[in-house]
Amino acid sequence: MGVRLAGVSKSWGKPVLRSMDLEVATGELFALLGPSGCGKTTALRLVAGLETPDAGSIHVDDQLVAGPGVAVPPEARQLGMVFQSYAVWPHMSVLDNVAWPLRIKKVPDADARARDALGRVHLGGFEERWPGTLSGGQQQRVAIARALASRPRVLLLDEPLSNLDAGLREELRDQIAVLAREAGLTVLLVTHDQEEALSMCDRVAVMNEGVIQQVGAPRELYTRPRTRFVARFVGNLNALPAERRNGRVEPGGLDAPGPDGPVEIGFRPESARLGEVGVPCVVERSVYRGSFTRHHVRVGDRALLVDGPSQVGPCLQVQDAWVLGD
Amino acid sequence: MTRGLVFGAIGVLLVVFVAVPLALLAMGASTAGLTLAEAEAVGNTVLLALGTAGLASAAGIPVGWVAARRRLPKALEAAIVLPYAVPPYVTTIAWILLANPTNGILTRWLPVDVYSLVGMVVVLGLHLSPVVAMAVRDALGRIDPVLEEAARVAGGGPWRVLGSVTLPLALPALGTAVSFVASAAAASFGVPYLLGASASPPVPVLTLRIYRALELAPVEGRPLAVGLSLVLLAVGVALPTGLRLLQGQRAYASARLARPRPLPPAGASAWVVYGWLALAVGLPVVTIALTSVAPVFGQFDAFTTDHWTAVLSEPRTRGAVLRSAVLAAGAATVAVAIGALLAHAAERTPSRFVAALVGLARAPWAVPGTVLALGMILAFSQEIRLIVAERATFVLALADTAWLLGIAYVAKSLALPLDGVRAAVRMVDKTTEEAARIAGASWLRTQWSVVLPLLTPALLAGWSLVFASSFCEVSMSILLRGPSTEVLGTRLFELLSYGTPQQAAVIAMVVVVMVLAAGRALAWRARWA
Repeated sequence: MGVRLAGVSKSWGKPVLRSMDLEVATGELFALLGPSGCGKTTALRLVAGLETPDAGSIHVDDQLVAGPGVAVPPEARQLGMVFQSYAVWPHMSVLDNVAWPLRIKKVPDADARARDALGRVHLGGFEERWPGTLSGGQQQRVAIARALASRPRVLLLDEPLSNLDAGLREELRDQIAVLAREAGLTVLLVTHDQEEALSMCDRVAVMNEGVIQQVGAPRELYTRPRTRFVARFVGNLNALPAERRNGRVEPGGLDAPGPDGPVEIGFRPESARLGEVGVPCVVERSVYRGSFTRHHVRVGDRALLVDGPSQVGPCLQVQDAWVLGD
Repeated sequence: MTRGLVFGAIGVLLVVFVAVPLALLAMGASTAGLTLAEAEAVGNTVLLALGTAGLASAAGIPVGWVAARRRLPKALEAAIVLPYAVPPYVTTIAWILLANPTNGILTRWLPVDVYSLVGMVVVLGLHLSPVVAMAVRDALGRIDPVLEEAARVAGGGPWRVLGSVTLPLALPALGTAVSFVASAAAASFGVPYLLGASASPPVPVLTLRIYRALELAPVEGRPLAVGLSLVLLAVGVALPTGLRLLQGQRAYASARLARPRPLPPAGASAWVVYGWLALAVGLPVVTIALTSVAPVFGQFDAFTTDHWTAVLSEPRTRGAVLRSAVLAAGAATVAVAIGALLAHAAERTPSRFVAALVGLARAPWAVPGTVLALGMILAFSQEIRLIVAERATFVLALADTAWLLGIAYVAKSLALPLDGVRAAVRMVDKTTEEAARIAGASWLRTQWSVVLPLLTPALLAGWSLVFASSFCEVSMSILLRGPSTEVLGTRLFELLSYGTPQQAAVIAMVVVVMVLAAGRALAWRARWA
């Protein structure tokens, strides 16, 4: 097991993490996704050893690093970490930044390994530069090289791309994922950007107010969110009243066992079609978005979004829906 | 038009009262009278400067670290500046009372002699240690804690992170502070006057030698005094330069302002600050306070207000205190007015003319008071007659007048309000002024209703700084005062030489009270701040 949290709680006056359980497999790319203040960064800092938990235990590579009577300091946990604000040491050259962790661990050929890591993040030739002369994206590459060079047991990424421009963000996102997979690293990513989490990681945990709401593969989270919060946080949510009779929900055509009666279904904008059959609706506004057109649709008192071709019919047909929980 | 006149007048004043005295010093440069005997004074000055810098660092670095990294009580945090706010000759008097070899209160148990180079280093080092402490505190506060956390996760233990990341990042700010401390110690006059001159054998330093040269021969001593002044200025330049070479650190772009993190409570580390404050101000001030109400020196079992009534009803002392208060208030008002005008112009309408004025206005701050006073003597010891168009005659007869003292106070401390207001102007977004103009306010109305209120804290701070430093001033006053223009500082020195310790303690307490009052004004915060 790469990382395991069991019953971890932390509070600063008010609780930030409430008895959190989490298991990240070795070699897995795992994301903690949630709005700011949900406790995800605190969870990461607890794994790093920069904070100590009030209760519970933390294992890294099956070694107990935090728990009752145990508090392994950060420097002894053999981790790599990349911070939102880069945290590149401004008084060290690029090479010194990457080589420093290796040098203090008395790794032989530290400089050669640092150069190799810089090459892998496409910063060959920047070794003697000062961080102050680099762009934000380049500084973050230095930080990534620094974290990778010491072959950490777990790579911790704390909103690593939030300070970068959109284009650069996507490029670096793919690079990190490729590098981590090449090295077989366990990665724990903290982000508030659902696109980042869903595109980079094998599994994602959605957090809110110190509690994990759902853990799952990106596709599962997107198409079968268990709570309204998760549904809204990972995409656009359409909610529509429906009726369950004998385990079948209409509209939506869902087979979902449960007591008969009114329920609500959720579906994504691209999982519906505006045609000649289905629930009667009113298309209030259509906005051309390039590869698709977004239609603002009204069904009774519900405002919905439907993405699809620009031609529309008067009825809404839901194709892939789920029964909305609380 | 008015603006042109105002800045023209400021320019004339700065040329006459700053440029001319400094130029006369430079022009009088000669090695006349300088003998190898002065090498001792140079050596002592350097030792005093380096020793003071060392002690101030030893005391100031831990205090600064605690202030930056631990949650201290608000009052304790505000008290860090106190040792620097209390004039060093006040604490010197306390240490004389405590540790003089004849009847010192401590000397009974501790064989120490305050009349020595070590005594001077201790007094000045404690006095200047807040400069180092505050520089370290601010430098550490600017370091993003993430830089240290990254080093911890990368495998560095706490001490290694301190040595490899924290200290190197704080080093430039620390170097600047230590250089300032060394220069200030080399320029100090009061402490060497009180401690070095009475030591056996005497410990001459350069400021003291300049004073003696002029005291022995007010006119004939001038060439020697000028020569010594230039040596002192050279030492003042050489020390920071040498320290910078020693430091060997390149400057780098500092990290962005750190996000505030909750600090751990101070716990036992607060005692570092308490202990240091107790030694640097607590013990001296208590000693002076008790001495001022003790019927017999060194015996604190009885209480009397006799010394207070005697000293404060004595006409010469009262006159000196009053003169100092009026001069300080006047100097503060003039310095703030000129400083604020220059600061605003330098930020909003920069030009070469304004830059030259700012340069002139800031120059005296870097010149030791003793040297600046010598320049004033060279320029104004004789009447200056200015005949315009063979008709109107202007006579400038400043020697031995209170005016000369006031002018010297303004010149010496102009840099304080100038720099303070300038920083404040920079903080005021120019768009707030533009918004007022667009809303229909005239330029004057905008200055009055928008700019001035925003600058009020900086103006008040500048005023109280100039007031406090002028009120307690001694190194210039002792050279520039006339027979009838005694001021607080010079009166105190006299009482210390010819009066009783209790009388000196009373005056010292008056200084402490005034300094604390000025500090209160300094701590004033606007409602919106």
